[in-house]
Amino acid sequence: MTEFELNGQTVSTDVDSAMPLLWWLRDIQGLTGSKYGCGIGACGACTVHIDAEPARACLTTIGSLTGRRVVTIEGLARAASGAAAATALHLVQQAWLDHDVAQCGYCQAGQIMSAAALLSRNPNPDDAAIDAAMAGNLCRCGTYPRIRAALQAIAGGAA
Amino acid sequence: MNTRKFSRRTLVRAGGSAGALFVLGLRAGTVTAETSLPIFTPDVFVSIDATGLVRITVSRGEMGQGVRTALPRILADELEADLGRVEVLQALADPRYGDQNTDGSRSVRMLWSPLRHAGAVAREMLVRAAAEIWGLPPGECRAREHAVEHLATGRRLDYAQLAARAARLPVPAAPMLKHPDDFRYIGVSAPLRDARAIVTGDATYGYDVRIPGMKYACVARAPVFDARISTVDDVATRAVPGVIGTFRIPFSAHPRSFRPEEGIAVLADDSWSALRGREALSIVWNEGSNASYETAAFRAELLESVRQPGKLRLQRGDITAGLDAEGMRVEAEYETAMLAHAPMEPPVAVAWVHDGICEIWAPVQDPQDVRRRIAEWLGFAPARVKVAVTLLGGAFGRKSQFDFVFEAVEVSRRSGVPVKLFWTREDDIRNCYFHAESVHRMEARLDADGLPGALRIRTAYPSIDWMDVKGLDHPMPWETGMGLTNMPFDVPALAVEACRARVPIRIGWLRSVCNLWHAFALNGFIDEMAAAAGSDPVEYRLRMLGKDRVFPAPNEESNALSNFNGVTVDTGRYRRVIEHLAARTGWGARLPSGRFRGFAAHNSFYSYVATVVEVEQHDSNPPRVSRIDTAIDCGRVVNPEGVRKQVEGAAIFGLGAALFGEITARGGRAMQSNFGDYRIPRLIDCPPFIETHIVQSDAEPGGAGEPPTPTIAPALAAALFAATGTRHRKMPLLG
Repeated sequence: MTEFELNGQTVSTDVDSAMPLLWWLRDIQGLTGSKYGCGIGACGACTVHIDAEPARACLTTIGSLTGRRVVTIEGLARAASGAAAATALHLVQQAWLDHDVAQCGYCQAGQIMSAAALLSRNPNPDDAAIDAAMAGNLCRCGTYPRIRAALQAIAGGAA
Repeated sequence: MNTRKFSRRTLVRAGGSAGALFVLGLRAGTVTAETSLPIFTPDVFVSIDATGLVRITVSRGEMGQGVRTALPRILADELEADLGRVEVLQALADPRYGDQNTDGSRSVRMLWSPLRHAGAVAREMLVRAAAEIWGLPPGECRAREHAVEHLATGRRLDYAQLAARAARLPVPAAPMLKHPDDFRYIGVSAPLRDARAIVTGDATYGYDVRIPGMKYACVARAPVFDARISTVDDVATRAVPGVIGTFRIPFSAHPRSFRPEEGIAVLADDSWSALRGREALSIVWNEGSNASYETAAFRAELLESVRQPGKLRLQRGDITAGLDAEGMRVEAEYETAMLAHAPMEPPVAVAWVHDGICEIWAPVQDPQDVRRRIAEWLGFAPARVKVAVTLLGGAFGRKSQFDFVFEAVEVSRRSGVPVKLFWTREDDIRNCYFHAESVHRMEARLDADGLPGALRIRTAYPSIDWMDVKGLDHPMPWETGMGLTNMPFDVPALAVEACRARVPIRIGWLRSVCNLWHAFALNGFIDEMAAAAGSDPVEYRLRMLGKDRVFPAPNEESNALSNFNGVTVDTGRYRRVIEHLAARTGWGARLPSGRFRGFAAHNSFYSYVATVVEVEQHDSNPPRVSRIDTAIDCGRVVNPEGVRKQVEGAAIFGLGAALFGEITARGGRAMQSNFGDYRIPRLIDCPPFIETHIVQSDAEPGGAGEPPTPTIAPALAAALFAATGTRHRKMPLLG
C-alpha cells in the first residue's frame, strides 16, 4: 500500500509498487492529461511535479511516492492558485492561449508542467534558462518558437 | 437535397449514435448527450436548433493543422453565424460527408466550396423565412450576425426565431455566395479551437479514450518486413499478474493495403501489465529474405540503378541530343535518408466488437477507409462499423496507415472485450511505414546563356504503392509528379526517369511525401548549375522559369488529389513567391560577417513556397541556423495565423530531416527505436527567428501543412555551401 498526495488529495493504492506513475495515473486513476511519448524519460510528454520539482511520470514508480506531493496538469492551476479557483488557468496555461502555442497539443501538458516548474524556481528566466529548462520536452509539430515567445512574455512581465 | 428528406427519426438516429459514441470518452469540443435536437438541417455540414445554436460538422481529422478551427469559419462566414453560438461536431466515418481522407494538404482546398455552399444555403433559407414572416421580398432583407434584418426598417429576427420556418422551405440549388469583401471570418486570424482543452489536459486523443470494461493490449510484431512466426512460447506471459491472454495477429498476404504484420498480442488489465507480459514472450521468427536489407548496400543498389535508364515519366525535346550538344556539362548525385514520422502520440486504437457491430475510436486520418477495410476484415456490412475520430496527437502521414486499428479490432473480436491497442515509441519507430530513402542522378548541359538546354533526372526509391501492387519495383508517376514532372521550369530538353528500386521494408507517406527529396535534389542541382554559369541562384531560377504560363501537370494520378479542374502549375505564382521573398529578405544585399544564406523554392499541393535559410559561422565553430524566412502563396487564406503556425512547424520538421533525421537498417531492422537514437528537433535546435511571409492571393485555397517542408533542406544546404564551400548532396546534411 502506497499513500501520497495527488493534486491536493491524499490517495492510497495497492498496485504493484514497481508500476510507473504514468500508467497508474492514466489507466487506474483515469487522469489522461499526462501523456505517454517515449517511456524512457526522453520526451517530457509525461512531466508532472513531485514535491514541486518536474519529474517524468514514465520513470517514477508508484513505490517511490510514499508521502510525496504529486501535481499533474489537471491539478496545476489549483495547486498554484488555491482550491477556490477550479476554473482558473495557471499563468503558463494562459500564456499558451495568448500565444496560440498548440498545434496537435499532445506534448503541451508536459511542456506546460516543465515551464511552470521553471517559473516557480525562476520567475524571470533569460533565454538560456528557458532553453535549458525546456530542452527535455519534445514537440513534433514544431511549436517551439511560440513556447519560447510565451515564456519570454511571462519573464518580461515579471521583470 | 431537400430538408423534408430529413425525418425526425433520421435525426434522432444520427444524433443518438453520435451521442452514444462520443459520450464514452470524447470530451473536447464534441457533442454531449444533453444537446438539443436540430430543427433545421439544410446540409450535412450544418444544423440549427430551436435556441439558434448552430452546429457545424468537421469531416476531417484534427492533427494539429487546425481544421477544427479553420473549416467551421468558412461555413459560419457564409451563414453570417455568430461564432459564439456555434458548436463544432466531429464527424463519424460516413460517405455522406464526401471524402474524409485527411492527407495531401487538402482539407481547406477540398471543403472550401462545399462549406461555403452549405453556409449560403442555410443563410438564403433563413432570409426567405424572415421575408415570408414580414411579407416582404427577400431582396429587402439580409442576414447579419445570427439574424435576418429588414434593411429599410432595421427590424431583426434571430436565427432561433427563423429555423423552424426555414426548415419548411425548398433548399436552393445555387445560392448566392458572399463577395470576398464581405468576409467576416475568412482571412481573419483565429486561435486554435481546442486550445483550452489542450492546456488543461482535458483534450481527448486516441491514447486517452476510456470506455467501460476496456482492457489494454500491445503486440510483439514482425521485427523484419514480412517475417513469419515460427514458434511461440507464452507460458511466462500468461503467468504475469494482470495478463488476460495472448492473441495471434494473422499474417496478411500481399497486396496488403494497410493490414498489419504478423504478431502476438498480449491483453491485460492495464498498459503496464501488457508490456510486462510482452517482455515475457518468447517468439522464434522466420525472418525471410528482407532480413538481408542493410542501408549501405541498398543505397549502393539504388545508385547503381540511377546510372542506368529507367522508365520514362516525362520527356520534352530530344534529351539525348540535348545532353550531347556543345556546352558545359554539370552532373551530380543526391541521396536522402529514410525517416520515421514519430508523432508524439504513437499509433493507438480502441475497438469493441460486440453484438454484430464494431465500434472504433482512433486517431486516424481516413476514417472511411478504416470503416470499409475493417468491415471487410470482419465480414460485416460497413454500416455495422462505426469509426469515431479522436484528436490526433500528430500524424504526419503515419496515421493514414491504420495497421494498429486492425490489431485492436482483431484482439477485441477474439476476446470479446473493448480493447485499447497501444504502441510504444519503440513499436512506432521499428514498425513505421518509413519515408523511403532515395537517390537522384542529375545531368545537365548548359547553353551559351548559362541556362540548361538539357536536363535529365533519374531517380530511384521504393514506391509507396507496394501496399496495393504486388511486386512493384519502380517509383510511380504520381510519385515523380510530386516535385519532378510538375517542375515549372522551361527546359528545352527534359527527361525524368523512374529507376528500379525494390521494397525491402514498409514504406509510407510522410509530410510532403516525395516532394521532400525531389525538392532537395532539384534545388541543389539548380544551385550547382547557377554556380557553373556564374549566376546568382535567385536570378537563375527566375530565368529558368521563362515566360509566365499555366500548364496542366503531366501526372494524371495526381488528379485524385485535385479539385479545381485538375492539377495545374502556374509559373507566374512560382515567380512571384520567389520575388516576394527576395525583396522581403533583401536577397543579394551584403550580409554581416559570419552570416550566410541559401535559397530554395518549390511548388506542391497547389501552393508555391520559397525559403531563405541563414546560418551563422564564427571562427572555427560549426555553422548554426540563425534564421528561416519562408514565403508562401497558398491561394486565399482562411486563417492567416493557422498558416503561419504550419509554416513554422514545417520549418522545424524540415530542419530535423535536413540536419539529423535518419533511420538506418541492418538485418532488415531499423537500428533506431526511440528519441535517444532517432533525433528530432528540440527547442534548443530552433533558430531564434522563423518568419512567415504570406503572399496575398485570390487564387482558390491551396495546401499549407506540407508545402513549406521541402524547401528547408535545400535552402540550408545552400547556406552551408555559402559558409563552407562544400556541397551537401546527402540528407541528413550533417550525417
